[in-house]
Amino acid sequence: MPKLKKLFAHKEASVLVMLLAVMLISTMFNPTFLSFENIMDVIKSNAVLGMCAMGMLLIIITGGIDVSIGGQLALVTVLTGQLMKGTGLDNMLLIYIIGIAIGGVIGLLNGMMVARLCLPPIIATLGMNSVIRGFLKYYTNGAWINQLPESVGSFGMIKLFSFKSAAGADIGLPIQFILFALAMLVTWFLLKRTLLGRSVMAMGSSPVAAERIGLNNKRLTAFAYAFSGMMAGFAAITYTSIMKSVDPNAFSSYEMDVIGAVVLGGALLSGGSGTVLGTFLGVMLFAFISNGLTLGHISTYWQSIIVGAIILIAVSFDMVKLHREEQRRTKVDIDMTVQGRGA
Amino acid sequence: MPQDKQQAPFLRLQHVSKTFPGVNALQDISFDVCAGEVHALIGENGAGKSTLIKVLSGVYQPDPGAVIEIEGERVSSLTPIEAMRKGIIVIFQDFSLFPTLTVKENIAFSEQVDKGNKLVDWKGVEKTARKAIEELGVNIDLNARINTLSTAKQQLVAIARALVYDAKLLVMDEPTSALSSGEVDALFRIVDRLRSRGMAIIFISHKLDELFRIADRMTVLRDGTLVGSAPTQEMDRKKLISMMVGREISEEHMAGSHIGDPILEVKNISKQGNFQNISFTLKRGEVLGITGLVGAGRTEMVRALFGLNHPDSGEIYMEGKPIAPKSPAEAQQLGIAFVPESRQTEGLILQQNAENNITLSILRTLTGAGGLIRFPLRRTRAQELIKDLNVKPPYPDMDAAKFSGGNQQKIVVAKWLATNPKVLIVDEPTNGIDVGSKSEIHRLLRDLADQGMAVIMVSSELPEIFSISDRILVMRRGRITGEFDGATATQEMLMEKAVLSSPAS
Amino acid sequence: MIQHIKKNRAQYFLFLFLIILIAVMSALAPGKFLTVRNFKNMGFQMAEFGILAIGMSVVIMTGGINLSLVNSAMLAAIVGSFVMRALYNGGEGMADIPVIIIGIVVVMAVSVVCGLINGYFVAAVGVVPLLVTLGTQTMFNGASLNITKGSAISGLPKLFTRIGAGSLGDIPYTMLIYVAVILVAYFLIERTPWGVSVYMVGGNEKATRFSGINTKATLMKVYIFSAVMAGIAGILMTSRYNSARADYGSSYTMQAVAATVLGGTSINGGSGHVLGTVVAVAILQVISSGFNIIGINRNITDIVTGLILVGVLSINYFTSRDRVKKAAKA
Repeated sequence: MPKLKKLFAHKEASVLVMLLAVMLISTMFNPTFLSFENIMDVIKSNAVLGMCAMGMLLIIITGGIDVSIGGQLALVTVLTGQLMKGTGLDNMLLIYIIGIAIGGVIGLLNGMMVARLCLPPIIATLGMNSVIRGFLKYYTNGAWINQLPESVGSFGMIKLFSFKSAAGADIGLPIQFILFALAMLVTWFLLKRTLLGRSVMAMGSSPVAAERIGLNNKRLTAFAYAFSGMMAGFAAITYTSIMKSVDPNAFSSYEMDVIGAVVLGGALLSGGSGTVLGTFLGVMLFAFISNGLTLGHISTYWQSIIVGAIILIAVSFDMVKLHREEQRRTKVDIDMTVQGRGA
Repeated sequence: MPQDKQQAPFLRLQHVSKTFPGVNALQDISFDVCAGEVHALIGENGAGKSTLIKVLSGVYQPDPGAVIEIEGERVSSLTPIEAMRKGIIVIFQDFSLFPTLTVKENIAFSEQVDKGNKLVDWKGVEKTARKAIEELGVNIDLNARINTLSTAKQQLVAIARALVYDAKLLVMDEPTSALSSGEVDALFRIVDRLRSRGMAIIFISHKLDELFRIADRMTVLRDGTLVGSAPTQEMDRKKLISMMVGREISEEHMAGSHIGDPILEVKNISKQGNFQNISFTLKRGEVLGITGLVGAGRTEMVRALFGLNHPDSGEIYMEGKPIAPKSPAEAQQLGIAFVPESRQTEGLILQQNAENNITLSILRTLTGAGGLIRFPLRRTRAQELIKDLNVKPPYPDMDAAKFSGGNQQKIVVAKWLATNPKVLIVDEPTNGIDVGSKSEIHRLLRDLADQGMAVIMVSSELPEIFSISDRILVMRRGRITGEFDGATATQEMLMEKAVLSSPAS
Repeated sequence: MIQHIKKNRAQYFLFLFLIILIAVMSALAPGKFLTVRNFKNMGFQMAEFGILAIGMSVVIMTGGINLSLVNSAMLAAIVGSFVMRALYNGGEGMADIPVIIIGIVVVMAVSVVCGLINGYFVAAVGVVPLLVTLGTQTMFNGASLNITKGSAISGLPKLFTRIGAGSLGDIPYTMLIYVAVILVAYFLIERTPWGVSVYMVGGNEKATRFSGINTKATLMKVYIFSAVMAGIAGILMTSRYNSARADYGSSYTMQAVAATVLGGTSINGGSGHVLGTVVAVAILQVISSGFNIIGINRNITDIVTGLILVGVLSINYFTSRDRVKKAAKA
């Protein structure tokens, strides 16, 4: 029993319970929910969100926030899209490297503004978003980029270990599943096993203490934003390969979904906490709610109401729990051997 | 140098001055810290202690002409990291721990940083942390997160981390300020242990009694100069205080003159995990001192009177009528005022000016037509209170953060006097305040009581309790264990009730 | 006086910047920028954004943020328009004036409810404002879409469109409303006990509560005030477009944050002035109108806005660092 209690003390556990509840209810309304195909579909269409969430996780661990993720995604899709269309470049590896590099540079700029100029993260990234969006509107005039090289689209369709189902449909692990897993693995390894990742975690936990043991907070902060930018670049190319075209106006207020998913996954905005597993569960919770509602033939307009309500309930639940714990905490070890007043 | 290295002190400072433009923070300080000694550094706030610590830990560079020798070798310039490498470790009041990380990582993280490996060696972390904790001879769960530990345990983690650094000189800044007396004893045992291993320890504290227990040598700073340094056995309390302030301070008892009718009656209030069966009566014109060890439930109990910590059972009567304040706003309506323990986080809005802070509690009474605040009236009220309380400098426009600790406390008191309360509760009113402001605040509390206010003063410092209390309550483990007359009580009587578990009745 | 200027030098700096900007624009577009027509145009556009920015500023002064600002504006406007359309019934129903009055009352009522929801979670439950308003932003938007099914609600009374399009002589009605809102907001925030407690809560909520201020009520009123500002802006927008849609003005939320911060309110709360925000809004408007007149691609405006935001804050950082250095010397 105490073990169970300890398990539930982990924030991941409560997210998992919510996730399972959503899955159960969805399955009750529509049994196809639990099919391998559907779940793979959900993962495929939420891989982009998940990748961005991994980057955002690192920033939130530093106690910061990035509201330019949507702009970064749009910028990378447009620039690489232009490049592909203009030059016919179709080497996916190269495209990924370029996308990650562009994202990394934008992220680094954000990081420099936060670390060097000491701008509040929300303001620095707000400014960045404004600049990116303005640039994109100016540069593209809102025009879509179509006719991308064939291989981009076919890359997005790759399924591994695929076989034909009885109904004749292609079943397999979508490439996005692998890419998302890769993004998580990299982030997990960084945060758990590398000194760099632990240093970011330590700085987020206490910037003053980190400075005192000789960590370079400015560099760590810049790194976190750059990493997030790289993840956004990675996600952007993945998105292009799914959509096979580029919409420069896409991803408006996408950053709010990303932040929502990370927070649902248990990371605290005050910094110093948050895990890859929790963030993954947060993303999946987001994904399965809207998928479940769709399968349940509930209007998409209800989805945002329900997602919003779940965010509110989840964060309120944390607060109420914290408050109750604080109330119940024994502050004084009362002497129960004495009856009544001593003197 | 002909000197024998064995004889040289671990750290020798000579002619250290530190000038900030316009201010001589340190003037020609010379002092030594030897291996295996506990060296107390004493002085009022602003005497230069923290500047000195920052110089010897490499945060500040001293003015040219200073000589710093570590283990007999002259160091030309010291950076914080170099100071740490040479074994000078400062444990700051906030411990500088990582609250969301585990104990083992907190202890061993710096070692991982120093090794410079790209990957974290978790087995090494565990091993290092275990070794350090075992050396201290304490028992702490290595996998617990820091923010789930008590203050005392957090401090132990900070000390364990210093061991990992191979500390040769450990600087402890007010290490006992948040500890209960049992925890202080435990800390002193560890300090003893480190001393006997040959570690040099600089111990900064305002609590003189503790210093007499633990220090081998005492050095007193005043206004940036070194007033004196002597072995503990050549010092006594009076001499120490006079060195600190430059004059003798009398700790005489100021008795109340006009003690009147009961105003507040507390009957048998209890709250689980906070306090149990608390009953007492408070009279007009009286200062009621409440003492006991930290963690005895004093703060929790007085917070109940101010609507911050609702009791589970029992009654409170104010002027004969039952009251049950549910919030500070309600308590204020009832005429209860509360000066909290932590003036920086609970008492003041630091980035607002003195006027805004002082008039915050009476904003509603300063409005004129259309509910708008009358700014000239507000300024006048603020200035009156600043004058009454002798806040220095008397600038209503100055940010609260820029006042000294003692004057900040006066601003908090002024805010409450503005409401003209019937009952004034002060919690550790002079914590971390210099000796001069301290006696001013005592005088003020006494005067307020003499003018008819009823004052409850929670304090851990017995001299403070004795100096102005008409009556003294002692709490221990959530209960009142003793009640004494302020004029006749002795330290021993109070200590016995605060510490001993023998049934008193 | 000198004391006053010193204390509020960021304010004066900002105002000076506005004047210089107007001078530069007038010089770059002689005979076009400094005209009654252009100022009238700016007046039409500035009001709704300015009112939203004031609604954002008061929240930021408490150290919070209101991401749901525009969504609550549009939700209120949509519900109000829905009611107005039904009552007006294409001119067959009630007369213009009663329909408009009922419509405005409905908009305000919905706004207050939106404010209460935000205020409840922030003040009573104690959740971080960013997260609360992130959640309500999604919810309000979902509710709007539910009513409109993604399209616009039109068929509003003819007279209603006069609010956003009409003018008194050369002064647009929207400008008059804006000025009235500025005055009310100024007195409420800078001259009343509630207003002062807004700054205090932004500085240190706990110490303010410990001073006998009901900080929950303060915060609750802040979010209601913010939502009411949004509601007024929603009415102006609906009137100007002659319809209500869930995605009108969606970029205003972040722009309002930018205007607030540009106007000298710290994102951490405890400081700022209503008039600072108003000047910042005017600066952004002058830039966008000026660029338009000079013939610079209007999309550059976003880029410039972003750069100004970052630039001004960086300047603030460097000057405040100098001041800290000077203070350390003193």
